[in-house]
Parts: sequence; C-alpha cells; structure tokens
Amino acid sequence: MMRIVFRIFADSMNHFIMKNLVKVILFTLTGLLLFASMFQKATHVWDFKKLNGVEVPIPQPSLTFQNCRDGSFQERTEGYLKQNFGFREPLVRLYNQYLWDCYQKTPVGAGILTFGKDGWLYEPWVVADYYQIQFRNYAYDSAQMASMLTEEAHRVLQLQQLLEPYGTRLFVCQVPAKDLICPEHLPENQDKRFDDEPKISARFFNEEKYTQLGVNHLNLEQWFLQMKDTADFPLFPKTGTHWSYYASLFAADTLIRYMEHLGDINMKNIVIGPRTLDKAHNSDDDLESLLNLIRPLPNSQYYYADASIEEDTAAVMPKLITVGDSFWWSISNQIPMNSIFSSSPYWYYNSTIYFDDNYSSVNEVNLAEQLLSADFIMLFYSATQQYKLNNDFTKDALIALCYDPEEIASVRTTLEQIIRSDSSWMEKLKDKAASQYKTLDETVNNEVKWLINNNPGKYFPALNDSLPTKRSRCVDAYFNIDSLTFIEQEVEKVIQQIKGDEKQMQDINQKALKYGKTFEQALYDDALWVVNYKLEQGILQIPSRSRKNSCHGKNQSKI
Amino acid sequence: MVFSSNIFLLYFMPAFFLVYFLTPRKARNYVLLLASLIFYAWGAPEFIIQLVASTVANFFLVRWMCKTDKKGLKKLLCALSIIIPLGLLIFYKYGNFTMENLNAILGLTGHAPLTWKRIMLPIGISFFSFQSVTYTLDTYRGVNKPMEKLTDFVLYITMFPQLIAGPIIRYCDVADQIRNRESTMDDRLHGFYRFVIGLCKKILIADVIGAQVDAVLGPANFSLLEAWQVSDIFTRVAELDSTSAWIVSLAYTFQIYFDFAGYSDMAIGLGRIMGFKFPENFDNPYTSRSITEFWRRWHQTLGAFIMNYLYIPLGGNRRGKGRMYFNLWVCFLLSGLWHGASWNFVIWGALHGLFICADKLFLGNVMKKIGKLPSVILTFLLVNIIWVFFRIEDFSLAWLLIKRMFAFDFALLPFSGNVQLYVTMIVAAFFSFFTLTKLGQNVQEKVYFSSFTNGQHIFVWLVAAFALVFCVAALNASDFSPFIYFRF
Repeated sequence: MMRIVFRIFADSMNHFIMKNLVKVILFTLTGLLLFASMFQKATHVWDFKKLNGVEVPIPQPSLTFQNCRDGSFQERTEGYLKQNFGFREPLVRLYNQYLWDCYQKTPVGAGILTFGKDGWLYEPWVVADYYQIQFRNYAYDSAQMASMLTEEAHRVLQLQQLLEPYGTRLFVCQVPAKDLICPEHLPENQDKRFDDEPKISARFFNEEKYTQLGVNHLNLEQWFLQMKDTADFPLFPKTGTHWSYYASLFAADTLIRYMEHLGDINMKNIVIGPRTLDKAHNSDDDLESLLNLIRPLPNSQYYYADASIEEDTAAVMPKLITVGDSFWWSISNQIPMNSIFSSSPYWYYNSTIYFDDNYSSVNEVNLAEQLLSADFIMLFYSATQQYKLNNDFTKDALIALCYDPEEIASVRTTLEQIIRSDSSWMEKLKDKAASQYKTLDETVNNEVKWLINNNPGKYFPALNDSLPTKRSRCVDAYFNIDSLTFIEQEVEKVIQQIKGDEKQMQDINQKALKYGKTFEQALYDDALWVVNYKLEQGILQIPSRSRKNSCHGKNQSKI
Repeated sequence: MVFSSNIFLLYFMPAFFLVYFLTPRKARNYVLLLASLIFYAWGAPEFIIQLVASTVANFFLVRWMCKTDKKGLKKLLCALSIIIPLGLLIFYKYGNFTMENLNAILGLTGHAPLTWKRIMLPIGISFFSFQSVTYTLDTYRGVNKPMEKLTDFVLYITMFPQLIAGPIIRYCDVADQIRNRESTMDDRLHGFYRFVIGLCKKILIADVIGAQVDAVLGPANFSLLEAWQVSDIFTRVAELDSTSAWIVSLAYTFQIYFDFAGYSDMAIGLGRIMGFKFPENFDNPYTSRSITEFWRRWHQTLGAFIMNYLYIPLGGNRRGKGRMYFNLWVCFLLSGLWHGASWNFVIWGALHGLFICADKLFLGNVMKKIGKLPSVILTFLLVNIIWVFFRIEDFSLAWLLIKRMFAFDFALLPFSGNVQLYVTMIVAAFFSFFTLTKLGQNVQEKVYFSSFTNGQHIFVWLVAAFALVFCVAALNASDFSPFIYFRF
C-alpha cells in the first residue's frame, strides 16, 4: 500500500517537474539571485577590486530597546548595509560605467568632481575657487571672509612671534592648486548667483596679508606659475587634483632651501634620479580613480623619478611639524623624510598625526610640548583649504602655549555644563549625533570646541593681546626638564668627585649611619646639596635649552 | 522599510520568500503576518502597537456587529468600527494641519497661538485606514462574511506588499484569497517580473527625473556642488525660462506617475508571487482623453473606494444634477485632502473636481469632437499643470512656476544639457503613451497579463534578472560619494 502511495506521489511529482522544469529552474535561479549578495557577503567567495576613495564608515549598530523604538537602530543598520553588502564593488562600478559611457557623468548627487575642457577633471570646489565664489561656503559675504582671514593671519603672526624665542620657526607654505596653474581647461562658471557681489580669494588675500604683516611664508603657487611655460613636465595631471608626482619633488627641494634660509642652517639635499615616462598612477590619477569605472580612461603618461638624499654629515636634521592638507602626501611618500628630518610628523588637517607608519589624534598629544620640541612648523595648505583657517591649529596652539591645562579644562567644563543644561540645545545635538553617527558625548565635545574656536578671545582673553605674554606652565615644565637633566648631570659629577676623595667618603658613611640612610642615598643627598648651594650662590647656572639656539648658526652639528 | 532599499531587496525579501515557501501551506499566512509586522515595525516601531490594537478592536467590533440582531446596536458598532481607523487617520494626518490653521486664525484675531507637540505621521496610515473601513462596510452591507480568524484579519490590514502605498484592496476582493490561494510557478515568475518592472520604474525613471525636480523645487542647499540647489527657491523658480519651467513640471508629472505606478507594480508582483491577485492601480493614465477618464485610469483603487464608500453614500447622481456636481466636487476635494494635509492638496483636488464637473457639462463633448490625439495631449497638459499644485505647497510659488511656463521666453536645452534627464524623460514619455498604439496595447497585454512559453520565460527572466541587478547597482552607486582622502 505504502509503495503504491509513494509511486503515485513520485509519478505526480515527476510529471509536475517535467511539465514545469524550465519554470522550476528559473524560480530556483531567482532564489539564488536574491540570496547571492548575502552569500557573497558571508563567504567573500569572489574577490573584487576595492572601490577607490574614502567615505565615512557607518558602524554596525547594536540593538537596544531605545534605539529600536526611536528608529535610530533601523536607520543606522540601513546605512551600514549600504556600505557593506555582497557585490557592492562590481555593482557600483557597473552603474558608474553606464553613466560614464552614456552620459559622461558621475552618479547623481556625488559632486566629487567636475568635468573641464578636453577631458580634464577638477574638484568642484577648486573650480569654485578660481571663480572666487568658494568663500561662500565659509562666510556670508566677502567682507566677513576678509575679516576671518585677517584674524587668522594675525594669529599666525602671534604664533610665529611667540614661538620664535623658543627656537621654533613657524612658516606658511602656500601650495599650488590646479585651477590657478591650469585654468585653460576649467569649465565655464555655471554659478552666476554671486556675479554682482564683491568676491574674495583666500590665496591672493593671504599672500598680501602675510607680506604686509611679516609672516614667514613661501608661495609655491607663484613659483609654479612662473615655471609653467618653461617646465618640460606637467605641473598638474589631467585626471588628478594634486600637483604632479614629479613636480612635487621639485617643490620639496625648494621647501628645504627655504627652511635652510629661514633657520640659517645647512640641511641635506634631495637628489632627483633619472625620470621615466609611465602611465598615470599614485595621485596623478586620483580624480579618475574616484570615478570607480570598470574600464580605465585612456590616460596620459607622466614622469616619475626616484628621490634619494645626499649624504652630508655636517648637515642639520631638524624636527618638522607639517600641519596641512593632502598635497603633502606626494612629498612624504616619495622622499625618505627620516634622512632629512630628525622627526617629521604630519598633522593632517590638524586632526590625525601621521608619523613613522603610525598615527594618532592631535587630541592625544601635549600640544605645547610638541610645538616647543619642533624646529620648524609648516602650515601647508592649498588655496581651497585656506578658507578653513588652518583647521583651528593656530587657535589651539596659542591657547596651549598661553594657558595651563587646568584653565583650558575649566573653560571646557563650564561650556559643557551650559550646553548640557539647555534641553533644546541638547535635542539639536542629539539629532546631529544621530545624523553623523557619533556619540552624544563626542558631539557635545565638538560643540564645545566649536564655541571656543568661534571666539577664542572671549574664553581666553590673553589671545586678544597683540603678543600674548601669559604662558602656560607647560612651557616652563618643558624647559625644566632640561634643568633637571642639567642638575642630574652636575650631581653625578659631584658624586664622582666624592668617590675620589677617601675623607669625604668616610664623612658620607658616618652621615648615613647617623641618619639611618643607605650609603648611596646619603651620597646622592650630599651631592645634591652641593649642587643646589652652587646654584644659589651663582657658582653654577642652568644654561638655556641647548637645542633652542641651534638653528641660529650655520652648520650646527647636532640638534 | 521601502521596497527600493538594500534592506528589503537584499535581506528581507530573500529571507521572507525562503521561509514562506519552505513553510507548509496552512502556516504560510502566519509567516506572512509575522513578516508584515516586522516590515511595518522596522519603519514605524512606535506605531505598531496602535496599528495592531486598532485592528484587533475592529475585528471584534465587526464580529459583534454581525452577531447582533438589534439594528440600532448594529449601526452603532458599524459607526464605531469606522470611527476608530478614521479617527486615527484624522488625528495623525490632520492634527498638525488643524493646529496650524487654528493658530493662523487665532493670530489673525489677535489671540495667542496654542502650543502643541508636532505629531509624527505613521507610514501607510492613509491606506490601511481605508482598508479597515472597506471591511466594516462590506461586512455591514452583507457583501462578505466577517473573517473567522483574527490573524487573517490582521493579515488583511497589515499585509506588507500593499501596506505602505496600496493598492487599496477592498475586503471583498481579497477575503477568499487570504483563506485559500494557489501560487503556480507561472504566478511566481510573473510576480517576479512585475516586481522588477516596478523597481525599474521607481529607480531608473522616477528617481532620476526626481533628482532634477528636487534640484529646482527642493529646499535650498548651501553647497556649491550643484548650482541649482543653492539659491532661494523663489529665486530659482523666478529665474527659470519657459523651457525649464515646462521641463520641471513635465519631469514631476512623469516622476509621480512612475514612482507611484512602480510601487503598485512591486506590490502587485510581490502579491502574485504568493498567489494573491491584487487589483490593478494604474492603466496608462496619461493616455486619457479627459479628466474623467484620467480618474478611471489613475489610482484606480482609490477611485473605486471613493465611488463606493463616499460618492454613492452621498447620493451619487440619484438626487439631481446639481447634487451630483456637488457630490463629485466634494469627493475630489476630500481626495485631495487624503493625499496630504495641506492646502495645496485641497486646491489640487478641487481643480480635478471642477474639471470633472466641466467634463459632464461640456468639456467631455469638446474633447470627443477634437479627436483622440489632441484630446489626449490637452488632457495631459491639463493634468501636468494641475500637478504643479500637488508638488508645491506654497500657492504663490506654484503660481509663479505656472507663470514662468507661460512666459514664452523659451531657451534651448536648459539644465546644462543634462542628457540623462532628457533621455529618461523621453523613455518615460514613451512608456506613458505607447499604449495609444495597437502595438503598444498588445505588448502591454502580453507582458502583464498573458502566459509565457518556456522560451519566453527564459528570455524575460534574463532581462528581469539583469534589470534587478542594474537597479540594485543604481540604488547604491548614486549614494556612493567618496573623497580622495578623508577631509576634516
């Protein structure tokens, strides 16, 4: 009986499958198609070329009753899944290639680049800056922008003057941008909204202001402009936004010459090796790479060369802190910085510090100590980034040099309390935190920072002086480290003298027995007393920090 | 959760169909119910309890209504069962609108405005409220027996394919399918094709065109990346030449059709995969020869609802011509208000009501006399102009756009030669009007409603599979805007 039932069932199934075979297969394939993304995500069976460019990663949220109830869990999960699903890379490239082939455009709303003439690519803000309307992203009008730039130039001067007595040279390097060097390929200005308004360009305004105030500055942009017609290599690539990889080597050489001049020192020379032509790579096609196409664009060839450092035992190896934008990568990636500088941390947008293949946040370092330990501080921004006023570096630096950490913390705490006690303010910050995928504490901290940087003189009045005289105890502490080292060295000298004198050794032995100390302790205490006595009597003097005067004379052997 | 999202396309839908088809037939409704509740809770977690509670209350009220023999009590329970969903709809959808207008009146009369906490509109409330009403009234009228199982009723109200944006399914149309339905392989494949057609309409046409509409009519955005988005909206519209103004209005006309029809296609397709036969919601509305015909083709399930549950109860055309015109006008006025709690929707509904009355009075005859193509074109242009009031909340701004359309200062290829916009609008126009031809009608009939041979299935499946992949690509690529390096 069972056999008959099974037979009937099997026959009917067979009949059904044979009749619907194609449809069953197609339906099964539909299921597989729908599950393909999940499968790829879980197994990574296929390895795809990663998408170029960086985006702010959305963290995978953890589920709580509250975030599920208010919908933030769902919102974040959808955001996370948009960045993390199987086949993302080929799918994005597929659509990008379609847009490029059919319409010569990038995805709607991306706004990451603008098409110039003859296939040249530009960043939109670079184009806007050429037409002098970029400032509208930072100020209501040109007068406000001029005021902001003027204040910042004064802060740079304050910082330069404040650091100079400590042997730290601060200077500005104005980095060339593609719009000014290659304007012939720029698209026409589509944005006519501000045609009737006065305009302002940070690059020209700053150049004039720095000259007028006496701020140390090197205008590489003007230098690039001058050599544009004579250079036998492209200064800017067609499909990249940064200076050409090859041109940046010459910019680095000029920078070193400038530092030698500013510090009156001798530094090592860069040797640029023989150049070779190759298809664009590294930053020379960084804009094209953002297109994330399947097929690369037909590309121009560019020069590339190896850079080495000439051996020079008499040369000085200063410490350089670079606070700047991404143009520095071309230099730091090509030149062995450790052969020229004793240390060369890169404070990227005054946010992340890159050093020796490591990185940390600027918030994690003792700012005053870092500033004082440097021989050179370079503010290194291209034209479009100059509206960002050095990313608040000058404000942070002035505050750190003039105020004790406790005073800074006190201001921050007071502001934080004001914010947290205002419910409507906190509501706005909650929304902001959610939209930016940040914690509320982080957002409140940023708000405090914004308040301070928006009006630093209000909270730290010493900054209103033309040259602040107030000093943080961190400054003294930094130099006291040298004093202590000096004292320790002198104590050691006295100990050695005592050890060479048998009578004194017996005296120390007796003192140790009398006061219940070990012999070593009694010996040290006695030597320390001698050194302190000499200091009080003026027989000994703590010298100023030895490193600090080193840059004033040429051919110093050691920094 | 919306259909055109990664979470739905790549996670929810595959997981749901896997579980659904692996579950024994008798238990599939429970799977669908659970999935529907998760689907709704994902987008409106705070409202899910109210949705379920009001649905459960309605179920028992209607059961009580059917059991009682007392006429008065029957009527009372029927009224109560209608008041609950409509009360929620009025509260959530029109609470803010009422308070804003009340405060405007108070302001005009010199009184201090009232303060209130703004009410969040639960997604899909306009649709499931109406479905609940159809259940009560169809049962009251004896068209259908009440549901025996509570879960079946909750499923009818919350079924995820049609929960968010319809079609508005009358209880009598779907009652039997909930209890017993058959899903053949043909249904499943045709459902998949229909879903993909809807997805393409939404992502490849409506969203692309909508981006340009939003660039002109959307809120000001102070980024210099897109020149159109930066200035004040009035300035933007005032500076439009007539070509641009027409392009913007036509773009919106296509956007709203492909967006809404696309969503309905997806809902119908998802339903068909499970064996449901949801009613059609759009029948090439832009090929209509009059506004009356337009409303027979546009959002058909809403039209049917208004006809059956509003126009006829108001007296329809049985109480004289004057009353008929009044009834028609009121129906469209309320239809406008149903679309959104704002005066621009009221104007939009009132204009449609007026033209429907005009059709009955004289316009219908005029349209018949001038021939098919001119009447289609005229109706389309009329609908296009009226859509302006639907899109733009501010009446003066809407009027400004219409004035720009008729300023007759035409320019050649505005919007910086946005080729993708033009190409997409041509595609949209083609698919909007291609059923005007016999060939177009045949193609539509074949694709939507006919059975396929195996060879046709293979071909259509391959096209649908590629289209699905391409839609997912478009959905994600348009949001991917990386920088070369991190910026701060």
